[in-house]
Amino acid sequence: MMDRSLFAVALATPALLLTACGGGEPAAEGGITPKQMADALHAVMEADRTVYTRRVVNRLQNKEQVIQASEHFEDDKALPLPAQMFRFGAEMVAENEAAGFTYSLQSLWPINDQNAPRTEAEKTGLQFVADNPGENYYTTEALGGTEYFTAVYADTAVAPACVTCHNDHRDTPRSDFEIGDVMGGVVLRIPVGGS
Amino acid sequence: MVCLAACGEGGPPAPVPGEAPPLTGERLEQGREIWLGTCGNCHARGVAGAPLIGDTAAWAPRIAQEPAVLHAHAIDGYVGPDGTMMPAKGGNPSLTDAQVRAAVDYMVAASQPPQ
Repeated sequence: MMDRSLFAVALATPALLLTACGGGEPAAEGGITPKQMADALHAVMEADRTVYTRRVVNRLQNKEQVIQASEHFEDDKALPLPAQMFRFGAEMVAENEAAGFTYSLQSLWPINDQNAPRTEAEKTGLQFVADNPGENYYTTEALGGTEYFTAVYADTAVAPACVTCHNDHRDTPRSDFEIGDVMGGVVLRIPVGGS
Repeated sequence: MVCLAACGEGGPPAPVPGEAPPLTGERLEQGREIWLGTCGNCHARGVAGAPLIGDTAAWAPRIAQEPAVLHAHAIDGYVGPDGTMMPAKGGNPSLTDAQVRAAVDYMVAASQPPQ
């Protein structure tokens, strides 16, 4: 499990005020704030996903046209969709207790119910990022006796495939997405208190 | 202060990245309407690496190409050298080719460096 002492220090610092969409709190002396940690983790996730989208999917599927990306990539002998790659990473981290944090791709309009928000923080955060493009959502929540810092980052439709797949899917609860719309969010959760 | 005031007189205001200014002329007005309805979804916020409207530095090498090249990329779709992707017709297949060309021309006009 990740050393929680840095986060404990951060939470004990009076200057650290965790508020919805709040930012800019100073780093705890000798450590980093949960927000800084969450933003850093998300930056890595976003970079990896962007690299896969641009350097693998866009290049091989759209430019060189040598292989397709498909939701059913095994049956179709195709590339996993960028969102699927992202989920696979999240699942691997969830299985790794040493990681010390979890993340998931969720939506208020999920094709699969297991990707719907469950906690109030998730629901509020997903609605916030949908209503405020370009802004993130930060809060704390207590789950199972543990205090968590929870961050939500918008997940935006960046390609026709995102839109058509979600709009046309038989299980979709929403079918009017356009490119550029916020379709969901990355929920990142870091334990910050003792259990 | 005096210089700023003096320099601000005369020509059109400098482009502001992400903002879609009204421009005069029937074609540019039509292009702006189309841009606001589709293109702005990405080019107003830089979604997926889309160059912001009014970002003169980002647009300079693109504008340096023939307009026909920009039109073709916007109509047919295009994957850039760094893997960024411009979807065909901005992902809105209901647009006609002429409408897409008008939107491109508007974005180019709105992304020119100040004279």
